[in-house]
Amino acid sequence: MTNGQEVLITGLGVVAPTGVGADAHWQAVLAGKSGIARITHFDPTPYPVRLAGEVKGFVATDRVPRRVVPETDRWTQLALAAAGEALDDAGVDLSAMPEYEIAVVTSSSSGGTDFGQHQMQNLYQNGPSWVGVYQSIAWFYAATTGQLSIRHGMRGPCGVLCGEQAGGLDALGQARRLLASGTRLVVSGGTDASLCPYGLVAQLSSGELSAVDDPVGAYLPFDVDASGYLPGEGGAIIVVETAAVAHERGTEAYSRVLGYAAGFDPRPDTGRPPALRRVIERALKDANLRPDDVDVVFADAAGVPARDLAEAQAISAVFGPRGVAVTAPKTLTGRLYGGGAALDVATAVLAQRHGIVPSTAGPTRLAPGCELDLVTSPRQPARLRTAMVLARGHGGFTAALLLGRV
Amino acid sequence: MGSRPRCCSVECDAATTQETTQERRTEMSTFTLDDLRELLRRADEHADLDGDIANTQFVELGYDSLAVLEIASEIQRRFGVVVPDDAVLAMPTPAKAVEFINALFARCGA
Repeated sequence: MTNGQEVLITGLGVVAPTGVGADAHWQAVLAGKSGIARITHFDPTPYPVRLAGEVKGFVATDRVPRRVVPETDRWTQLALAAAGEALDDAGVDLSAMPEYEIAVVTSSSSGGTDFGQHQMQNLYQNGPSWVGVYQSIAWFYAATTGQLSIRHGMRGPCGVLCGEQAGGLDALGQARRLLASGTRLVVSGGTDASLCPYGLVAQLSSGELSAVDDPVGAYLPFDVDASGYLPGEGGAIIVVETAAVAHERGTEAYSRVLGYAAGFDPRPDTGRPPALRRVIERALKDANLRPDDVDVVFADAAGVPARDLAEAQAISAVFGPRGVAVTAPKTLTGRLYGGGAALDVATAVLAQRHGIVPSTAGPTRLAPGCELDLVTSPRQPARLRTAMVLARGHGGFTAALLLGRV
Repeated sequence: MGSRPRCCSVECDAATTQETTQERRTEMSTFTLDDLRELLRRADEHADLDGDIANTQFVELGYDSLAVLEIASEIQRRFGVVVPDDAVLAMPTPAKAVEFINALFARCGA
């Protein structure tokens, strides 16, 4: 699948509840500083879920071209800001590359929910002619990819992956395919921002959100008191390119993408096991690695007891009970849907660079059957070369990505 | 239910009778280049529109076809006239837009 091309991550941009900017995010993660708090984008009082991870201090007009602001949803604005940081970080001069060999593949789960909600309000309160024309280009899943492509003149293969929380890994998997077939550089990763009444109500329908009204105790993956997860917004944009291109322009890489696999859960009534174990095994095979080569697993960490148990069992089946360090820094942000796995990849890459495994905030007592070496305070292991990121999206999407330290 | 649009065609009725805006519609008279400038500034308060823009293409002023369509919608809401979607094609420049809107006002019997 990689056609012998080594794929490198050379740029990171983060816009997350833990901070705007990769450095701010990493410092917050290390300090265990949570971005979870009472929702401020709207009055959450009448809703069963009142806590979320919001991106604070993000003023779109400071970070996005002013003409683009009224044309885009917040989810796209977060991505535009993160992409600017990621491209700067990669030190890439896009004008020096053939524009048709620069691709954009992002992940999206909710689309432009907040933008759409306001247009629906215009429709039902005032009438059809009050629906703004930009609804046509702001709501749909590919809007972020399109705006990134236009903004930076990246005219190679463009696409969007919609696999809910797994989408961020699927986007990188697709980026890797493109790099194997002539594309030089891909702007990938993803964001999401669905913290508006319409977006939250849609999320509630999964029945997996935590209604516990305590920022510290609401999202406790793998814990005996797990009660669901909290939602968040933001994500990460990640620049990936072939080693040949990175070498040619003399850039330093963060990490290597060593392996990737995706799967889909069987229908619940078939009695067949979920896809995760097979996906982990296939990702290892794809990377030509053995389980004991992996130094840390960034878990999907659904926070829903049955899903936590299924994930713990899949990890234990491959790595052995408590056989590998497992962490979930997403406890500081909530689950970011289309942006979630992309942020996990950014965090894993930063962990590899700094040689520190960040911790999981919240859980104190593992639930029965969760035989995990869960990292609850930061660790500096003797070896931190290879990280695995796991992600599961609502409905059965499952993906795993392996990252190697450069 | 807001006041009926002052346009009298069947098409106008069909398109607007469901509208319930509370906002009082501006009286139609003559639509000027300065009226258009104000609408263009609403879309972008920093736009440079002070010079002789009448015969400059909207695209060159930084307004793409969707931006022009949005301005046409604003005219529709403000003056209670129906601006057809394909009107954008008849409005490549501010001068042509002013001409088109005034012709529309005249047809709707101000």
